[in-house]
Amino acid sequence: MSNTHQPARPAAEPVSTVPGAYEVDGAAVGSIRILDGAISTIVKRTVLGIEGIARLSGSSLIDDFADLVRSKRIQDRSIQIEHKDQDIAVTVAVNPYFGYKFPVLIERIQRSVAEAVFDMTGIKVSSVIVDIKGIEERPSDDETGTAEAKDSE
Amino acid sequence: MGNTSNDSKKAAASAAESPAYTVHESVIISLARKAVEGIPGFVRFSGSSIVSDLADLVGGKRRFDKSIVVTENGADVSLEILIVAAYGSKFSEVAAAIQKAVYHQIVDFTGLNIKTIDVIVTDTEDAPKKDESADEDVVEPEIVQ
Repeated sequence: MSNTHQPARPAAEPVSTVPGAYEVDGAAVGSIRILDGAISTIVKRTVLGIEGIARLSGSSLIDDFADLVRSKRIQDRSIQIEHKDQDIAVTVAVNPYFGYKFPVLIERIQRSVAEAVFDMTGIKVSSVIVDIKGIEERPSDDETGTAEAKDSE
Repeated sequence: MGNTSNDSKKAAASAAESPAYTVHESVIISLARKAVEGIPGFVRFSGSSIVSDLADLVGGKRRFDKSIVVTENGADVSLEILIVAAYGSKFSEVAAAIQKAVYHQIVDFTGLNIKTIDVIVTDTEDAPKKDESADEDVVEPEIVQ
């Protein structure tokens, strides 16, 4: 039972080293590293907190399940993080609700994501690319919220 | 804690080649774990999720093996600590606080020489609202989901 959980750190997961380590006699006692998984969690929660965003692109049913079992895979599919020197570039795929102006939404996503990531991690976000993959009807009180996504392509 | 003089650290450091005693890895892990728990912004060790909470319930003991990695080389000890930080906290501050706490815990209580303490933030989530840790001043933003 006790050894059923997987290794906590996948070997290949990219990582950012950030400054601010505790120092003894002027020398840092070690490094502080932040895995991309933590950054994508910040991106996810920031984006989902924005008015007008239905969800990250992907199947909502599977998403909910993935959330339940704490799977990172779905999240990683809709959020990509690219490392450029010390900075990162974020690409996030979202489905907004009908009735919101995309430029306004996108600007809000870009600003909030860059701010939230920098606030918590100290990592500069050089770009946020927003990929609008679908658009959704806001579920109203009585209707069953069938996630019928009209692709805008 | 912290009453032990710094001399013990120096004594251990000078005896780095041939330590007069050994401290088992699990002891170091326990000390590190003890030091980290309760630090504001620290939520849990990575890997200690639902499954290992369950393991903990039924008496599993190896819960922290993957999230605190100890490398010993004589009296030199290197640690790698994998944590989940509180959403909304400044990760580097949380990590530095952990490094400080673990450093002093181990140096003061074991006399071992710390080579490195690496803190790796693997994820972030809301800090649980525990009554026992009343000194938690983590800002918890509202989730709109």
